Amino acid sequence: MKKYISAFVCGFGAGVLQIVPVAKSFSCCLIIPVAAYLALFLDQKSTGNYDPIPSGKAVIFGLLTGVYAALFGTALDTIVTLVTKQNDIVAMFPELQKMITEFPLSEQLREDVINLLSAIVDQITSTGFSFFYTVSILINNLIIDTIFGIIGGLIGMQILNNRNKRISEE
Amino acid sequence: MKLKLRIILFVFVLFWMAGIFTEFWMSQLNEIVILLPFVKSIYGNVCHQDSAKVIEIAGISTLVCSRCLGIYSGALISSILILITSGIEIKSNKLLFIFAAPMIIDVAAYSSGLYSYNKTAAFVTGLLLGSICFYYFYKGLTSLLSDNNFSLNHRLT
Repeated sequence: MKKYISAFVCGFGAGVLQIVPVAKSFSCCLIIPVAAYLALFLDQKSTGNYDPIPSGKAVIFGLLTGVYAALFGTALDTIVTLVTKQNDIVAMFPELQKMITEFPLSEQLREDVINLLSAIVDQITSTGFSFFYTVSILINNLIIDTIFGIIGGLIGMQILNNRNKRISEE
Repeated sequence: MKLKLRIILFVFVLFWMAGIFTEFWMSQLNEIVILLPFVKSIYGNVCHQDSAKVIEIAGISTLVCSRCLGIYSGALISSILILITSGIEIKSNKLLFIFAAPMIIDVAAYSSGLYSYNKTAAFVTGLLLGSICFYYFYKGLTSLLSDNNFSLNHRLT
């Protein structure tokens, strides 16, 4: 665990930034890859080992950063939703409803889709929690954050290896 | 092996780009409209999807903001270049900083109120960063595959 402490710290940071609206709008899709890069960078700093980073290590750090970001992001999102009884799906529900109404669907299907979504929205606005919503965002976060974490880890590895190579040549 | 990897990467980026334009083509495929909120939330994980910053054509919006669209478009262009050329070699980080600088300057300038958010500037600066980042990702992936003595040929055939 101690070995991957930098991934834990950066994953936590990314998880928090993912749900803070203002912070999110600045870095957007770069949050997780940058967190994975920082995890590798901090690991190098803390261990003092500036040898070329093996790609396997970069992938593990990226993956763990993504997993931690997904877990913390989902947990924080659930807590915020529980307290505020508001979240993205509630906010975009009127827009979604309008969009679905405009689609050339059968009346039955349109009704089913809107009923499913409004059941989730009702649960969130009344109790602040929807099991279906929580599970879906956890799965979403785990898939997307780990993929972007691995991508960030591999990009970070290239950047750090290039940098360390240049420093050792000088 | 490298050609297959390049093709897979290109297809993957193309698929991801197609997802960004879900609202444009989903209306043609009636039954899967139920997936729209979930597709939207997948992209919501990687983009704030601020309605003032997304690109809108004929009232239909992309699922990511202009900057993210630029980043992924850059990745797509880079994947095409990597697919058709094999000899690109970047050994220093200078190019990365040169390509990242316009985006950093743009974000800093509009955040500090020097000018208001400009979709074209966001798209172009994102495109530059996305193209170089995809190259780094490709190099990292090839290094991963060769480090692990991983033969894609064996997996695919």
